[in-house]
Amino acid sequence: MSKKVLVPLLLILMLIAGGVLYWYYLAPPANFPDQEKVKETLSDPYNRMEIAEIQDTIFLDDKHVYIPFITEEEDHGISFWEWEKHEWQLSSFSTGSMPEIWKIDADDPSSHFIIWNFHPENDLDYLTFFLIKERGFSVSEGKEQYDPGIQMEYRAEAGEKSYGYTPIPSEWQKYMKAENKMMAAMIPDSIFADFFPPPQYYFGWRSTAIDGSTEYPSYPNNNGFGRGGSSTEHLRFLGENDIFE
Amino acid sequence: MNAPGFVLNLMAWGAIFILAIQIYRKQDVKPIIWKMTIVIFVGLFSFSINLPYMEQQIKLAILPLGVWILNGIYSRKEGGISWDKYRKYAWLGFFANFIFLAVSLISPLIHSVIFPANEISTYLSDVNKGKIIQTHPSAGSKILDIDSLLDQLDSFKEESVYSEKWYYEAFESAGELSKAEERFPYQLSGTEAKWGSGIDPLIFVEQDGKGILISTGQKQVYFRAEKSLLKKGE
Repeated sequence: MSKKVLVPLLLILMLIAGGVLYWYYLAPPANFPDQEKVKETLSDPYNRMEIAEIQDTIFLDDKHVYIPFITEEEDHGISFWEWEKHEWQLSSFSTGSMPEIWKIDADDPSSHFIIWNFHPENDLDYLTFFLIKERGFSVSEGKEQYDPGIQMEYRAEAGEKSYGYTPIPSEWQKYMKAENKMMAAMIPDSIFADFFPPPQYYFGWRSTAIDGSTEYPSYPNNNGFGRGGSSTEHLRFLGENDIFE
Repeated sequence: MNAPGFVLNLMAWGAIFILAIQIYRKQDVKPIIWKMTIVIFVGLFSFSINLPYMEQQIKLAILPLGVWILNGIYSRKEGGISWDKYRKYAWLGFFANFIFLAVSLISPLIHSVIFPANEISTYLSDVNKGKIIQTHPSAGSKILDIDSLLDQLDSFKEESVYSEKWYYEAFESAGELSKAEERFPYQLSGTEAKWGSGIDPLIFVEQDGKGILISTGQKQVYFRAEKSLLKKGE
């Protein structure tokens, strides 16, 4: 091929590649699909759910949407939708009484949201969320390390609606950022380093009903199921013995 | 940013650049410069082992994998003439591993002279935006007494970290792990370590307000003050 052909050909290829890149990753999101379309996607036989009602469409930011829903069996569920590859995609969903945390950007705690949806029959008064790290210590080669126990709490009122969400409280964010940075400093300084220690903290929850009971709110059933993305995590239900009071 | 490490790395790259020029000048048959650059980078690729050194890992290059790969590619071209042009650069790339090894041997020494590990000013250089966060329910509702902290910055005394003792003391007083009060129930957030140290410490304050426990990811240090650094919140 002569240069006369090659150069324009390369230019065209670069333009196409640029266009594809823009289309898939940079283009602003399209309008969110209407409720019927959302219902249809969730009711996909593969998902094993019959959707009775879509409760709300909540934009956490312009590319991430939280949709609480109710199934024909009165299960209350939550689903996460993401604008990805130029398409609104269902990235994860679950039913059963379990709050989840959605880490939109895994490295940035200010983009993390705790999300829940409980059946109103549970008569919840409020929910308490926890950031917890177990106390620990290590002694190796004369180096001592003490890891203070962490227990930070955040109370969310149940309110009128069955569903809700909250960003991570700012004090939690400050702690998480400091801990994440410290863990990152443990990685040997190298391009080929292949181990990345996970953060040592986790998230938990408790619920308090109007009658004061702190039992697991299990109505109508707690045999939930779902399909999770890598960026979601169930909160652990904590008993009285798991926390400091 | 780790300033001493950054400067030493720049110097290492400078040294590699100068060595490359030296080789280039002495050559009769000159290589193509962009190819030569790639050859140096590929030459860097090696099988290496990690060794512990001053609370971090250093890499000791053993097998010149990059050089072998390049040899495989070039020796078949033009009956070895091509390899003659590039061989020295490939070995320079492998040799560069040892320049970087020297950097990682010297860098922590310089770092520890400029930023002594047993001085609190290394970790707490700018405290004006300091804030106290209660990280455990056993903490009283206290805020940072910034004047007390500033007054005492020069008089902190380093003490040993008694990690095992602290852990079991907490455990024994409560009988149950989750019910034990926390010895360090506050985090000190918003402060800055010394510029150029590259340290991002996680700092805890003791229940009595007089102890500071600092974790850097590499090590942990513990300091005590005479007076409390905390006061009653409004």
